[in-house]
Amino acid sequence: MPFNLLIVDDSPAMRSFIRRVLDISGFAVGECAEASNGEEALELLRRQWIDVILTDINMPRMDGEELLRRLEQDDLLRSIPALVVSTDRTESRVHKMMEMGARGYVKKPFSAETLRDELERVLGVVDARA
Amino acid sequence: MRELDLVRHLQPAFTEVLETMFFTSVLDTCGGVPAGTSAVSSRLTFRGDPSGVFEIGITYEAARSLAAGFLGEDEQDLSEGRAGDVVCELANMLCGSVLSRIGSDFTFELSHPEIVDGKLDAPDTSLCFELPEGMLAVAIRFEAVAA
Repeated sequence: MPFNLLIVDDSPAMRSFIRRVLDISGFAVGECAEASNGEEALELLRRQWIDVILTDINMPRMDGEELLRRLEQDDLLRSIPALVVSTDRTESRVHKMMEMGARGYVKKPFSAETLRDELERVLGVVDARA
Repeated sequence: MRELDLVRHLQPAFTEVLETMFFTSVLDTCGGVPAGTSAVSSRLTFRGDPSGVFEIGITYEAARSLAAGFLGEDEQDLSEGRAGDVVCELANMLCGSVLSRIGSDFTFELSHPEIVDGKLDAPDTSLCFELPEGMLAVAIRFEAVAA
């Protein structure tokens, strides 16, 4: 079963890379939407069905922390699992983001397999390969 | 003391980032590159203890090759802007990876990386790496701590 993903990152290069490694990993992607900050992500989530969100932390206009806060406050969007993808690998940051509602955390640098494994864990599927 | 830690963590951090996400490797460290070498540089600041500026400079050919590998695109189809975006992302990941190795109690904030005019043979270069595609130099400058 393919999954609809939303990649939230202000770096177009990083969004392209995530798409690329998802392809390499064989993860079954349905629609793959993109947003460059939390504000755009929330707009998109209100008009498009998304199964899982991959979000950066440090972004202009609305960062990843605020996005997680808004998702938690929204009765309709709260159930969509959000996974943080960040260069910040410190335990204090991971702990903070998980407390704010993130269901998973992928530390850069990451391999295609690491990303797929974390998506499968967050989505509760054993093998999400196409 | 953490300043010394940062420089010590450069090589393992760079190796991990380049091998995992850029599908290349560090061949060796080098003393520097010839003056006037054409390079693409990116700079960002980090706030924490310590705070400072992190800058990388990468030879032009290496920048294009790494960007193509990262994006999965042909080098000849790659625009300057897109290659620059990848160099900024590389700087962001390298800085984050180095800082994250300091200790579990360390917290930091990174600014958005920017493309800057830079020279690989700057006197404050902390370390230079030889890659199959060219050279990558890094400079870390720490903010002076008030007494």
